[in-house]
Amino acid sequence: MTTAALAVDNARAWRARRLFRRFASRPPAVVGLVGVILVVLIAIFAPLISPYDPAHGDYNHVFLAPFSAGHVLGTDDLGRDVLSRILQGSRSSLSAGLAATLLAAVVGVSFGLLAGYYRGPLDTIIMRATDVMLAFPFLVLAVGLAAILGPSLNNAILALAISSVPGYVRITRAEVLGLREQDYVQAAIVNGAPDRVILFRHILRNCVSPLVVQASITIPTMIIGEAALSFLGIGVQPPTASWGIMLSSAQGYISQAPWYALIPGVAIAITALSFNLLGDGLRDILDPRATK
Amino acid sequence: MTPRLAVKDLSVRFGTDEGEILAVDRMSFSVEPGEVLALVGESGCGKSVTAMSVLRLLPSIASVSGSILLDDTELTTLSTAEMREIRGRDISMIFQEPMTSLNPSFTIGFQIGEVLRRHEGMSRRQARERAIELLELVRMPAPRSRVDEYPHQLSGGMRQRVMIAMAVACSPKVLIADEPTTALDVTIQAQILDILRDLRARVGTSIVLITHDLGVVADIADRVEVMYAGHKVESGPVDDLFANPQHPYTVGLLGAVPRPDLAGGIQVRLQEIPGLVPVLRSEPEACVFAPRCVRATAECREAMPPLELLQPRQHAACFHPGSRVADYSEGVSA
Amino acid sequence: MKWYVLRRLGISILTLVLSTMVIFVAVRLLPGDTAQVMAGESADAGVVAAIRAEYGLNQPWPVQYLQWIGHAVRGDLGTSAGTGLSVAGALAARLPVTLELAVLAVLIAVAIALPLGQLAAVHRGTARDYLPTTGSLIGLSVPHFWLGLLLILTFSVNLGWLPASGYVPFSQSPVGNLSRMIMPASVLGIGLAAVLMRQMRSAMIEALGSDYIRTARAKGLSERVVVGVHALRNALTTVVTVLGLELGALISGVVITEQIFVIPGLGKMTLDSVFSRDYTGLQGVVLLTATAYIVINFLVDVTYSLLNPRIRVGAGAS
Repeated sequence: MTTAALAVDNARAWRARRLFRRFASRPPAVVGLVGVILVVLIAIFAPLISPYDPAHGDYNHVFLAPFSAGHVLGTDDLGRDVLSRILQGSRSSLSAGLAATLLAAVVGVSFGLLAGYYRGPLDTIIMRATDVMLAFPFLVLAVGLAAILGPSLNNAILALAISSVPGYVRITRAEVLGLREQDYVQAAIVNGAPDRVILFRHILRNCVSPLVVQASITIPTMIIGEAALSFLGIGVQPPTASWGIMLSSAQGYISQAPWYALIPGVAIAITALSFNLLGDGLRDILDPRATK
Repeated sequence: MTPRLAVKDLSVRFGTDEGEILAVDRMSFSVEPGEVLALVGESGCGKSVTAMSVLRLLPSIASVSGSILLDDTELTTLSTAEMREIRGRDISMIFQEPMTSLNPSFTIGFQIGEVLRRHEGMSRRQARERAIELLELVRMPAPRSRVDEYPHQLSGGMRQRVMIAMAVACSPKVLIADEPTTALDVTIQAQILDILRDLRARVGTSIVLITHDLGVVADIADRVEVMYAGHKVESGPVDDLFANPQHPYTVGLLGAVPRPDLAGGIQVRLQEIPGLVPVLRSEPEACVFAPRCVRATAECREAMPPLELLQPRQHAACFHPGSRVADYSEGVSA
Repeated sequence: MKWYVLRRLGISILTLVLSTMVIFVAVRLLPGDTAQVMAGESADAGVVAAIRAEYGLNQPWPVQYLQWIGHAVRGDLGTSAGTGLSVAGALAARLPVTLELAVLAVLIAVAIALPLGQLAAVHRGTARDYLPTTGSLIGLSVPHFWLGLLLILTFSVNLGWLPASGYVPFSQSPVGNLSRMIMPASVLGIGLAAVLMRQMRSAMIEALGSDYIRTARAKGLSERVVVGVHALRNALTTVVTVLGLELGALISGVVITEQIFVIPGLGKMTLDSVFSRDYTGLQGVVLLTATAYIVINFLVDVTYSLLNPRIRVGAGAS
């Protein structure tokens, strides 16, 4: 390895260490990170750690209160173990949050790059298209999609992703417009570097920080969005467990089993809060404009 | 004559994440009524911090010690409310950035009038009329229509006039001008200096002019204080100091500039001196300028030289004073 | 300024036209035959064909689109397949309900968010910053509909102070109206406040760090004036735009909140029309929300340019 390459490597390692130290010095961010890791582990190992089959009902033990024998969080209206359903529900929540964010980011970043880099009529078309997308609020869009394509987790994810595409387009485009004027990008253009190289090597790499920040904001929004759609019956379909569906059935028994309305909500709130805390920490250390 | 403003042993420390920084170290200076005093030095030498500490406008991470007397009033011990009475009435300030120093959301008439309503108890209408007069005073074209405009409708030079109008609204005893002409082009600079000169003659305001532009100093100042790394390194009347600089830093600043009488109309910029102004963490145990100084000897690396009277009216802090021109091409002890 | 407004107006009209096309195509993609639904499940082919001809459903799409737009601008949004009532009439009846809910929610949000955001910015890095900031983060993390259930649980089920659902027009009974509106409006308002508070805080911090704040202090102005006049005016111009962008989230919130509290507004109509396959109704209500979104954002942009004289000159922001 040449000394120059070594120096670059060292500089990167130094930057990474510095970022890590700044992150570690923020207790809320660390709490968020721990929470996120926990939720992810729970989702991965849900079938292994569930005390019961989440779909197995027992009509003799309906609405057992929490901490009753064998059921730490009690049982639901069909006598299913609430803890097992909460554990399984984490999978719908996380997969929706992550998949929708990833989808929105890939699509949004691509169009943002195109709009910002080529400008001209392509830019106009893309930006007007995002204006139109914004005119359909997420729930209206999701309801429409559910009506056309039928209610399912995948269609809910699609609706969630579409609704957050405009944000990614705008952020990427703004970054590209700024980066495009940088000397090193101009030099690469003058030197005849292919667009592909300029876009990916010189521009996209420098958009990473604002995009990570945006993703950290989108994930919890998507998680809550999935719960909302499932709550309305146009997301995850029974008998699969979802925190939104659990809340929706709890609404019907709110005076009979009020605790049943609490548990899934707490699960959603803790998950979303963990992502939000993590996201705030990331923004603090990555976004130069964020004022500490 | 008693000085209008007397600063004695002013030290300013900043507590930062990376440790403490000593921005100004035992700085003393005074200004007579109607006098123009120039604080000169490169950026980062502590000029602006000195100015802000006089108005007590430094952020809370700064700790300030020393004494600041305005006539007979000790400013450092005043309550915040009493200090607010002083600001804008007895001491006012013009800043370097005319583009951003005015609030974009209010008309210039409102912003000038605000000082008058605050300190002179004027009504909105009186303040507006007086604002128009002040705009006339600073030679703003068409003041009656300009008074209702927003800052973004004005050029940089006009905005600086507004800043000056605001600063002199209450005929202050002391006007601190922090690089008032740096952001402006040359012809506008000359006009702004004319306005300042005119104000001094009319109102008798003392002016503390902070600049790195020696052309401006030669043009308007009576006396000069040269600052380096938070220390005063040389001071004296402008003519003497320009004719016969003693500290090698001053010599370097003046560079090839021949004489102040010739420098009058010419734009004279700082000559490049190799190296950077150091950031001090504590009181220096060597001459602060030694790392960049061609005259530096072992002696200079052992103690900070004290400020001594070298010429009839000139002080300098140097073990090897003299006005011979240093040749910076000869390599600097790094 | 004039050009900026005209440009924004042009973009808004273009967006609106494109949105109507999207709605039109989306409704044609919905499963089920509108004519069949209108004629009833068991109607014979001849009746269905007659209805199709009567409503122009056998025409090519561009013709149908123009007919639909032509009727829509004259206030005719068709007849609901399910209820047989005029869609425009249904919208007119439900709009005031949703409007009241939304206005109350925004008032609650502003009343919470602006003072707290300012407090946090002024006392940055202290407990008076951390408490509201953490509060807003929790507010962002709690789903609307769960908060709604919690309020029902507390104030209706346990305390019995407020009715859990329903709607009474204000003109009929102000107390009945407000006692039913306060919970849903709070649910929406708290969610919006969480977002606004953060925006307010960062806008205030940015304003407080500006050179003009230093100038204001150098004039001898009190901190109350420095913060409450000089910084606040500039921070508010930023927050106003955010309010416009949050409108979409507010509309989504309205849909789900009206569902929980059984409020007969536009949000409930959106869901009801999907579940009852009333596509004419869905088309109408989506058209109305999209139009409202575009119009309100246009107004916000124009207001912003009035509040913030800077962009009147270089009208670069799109």
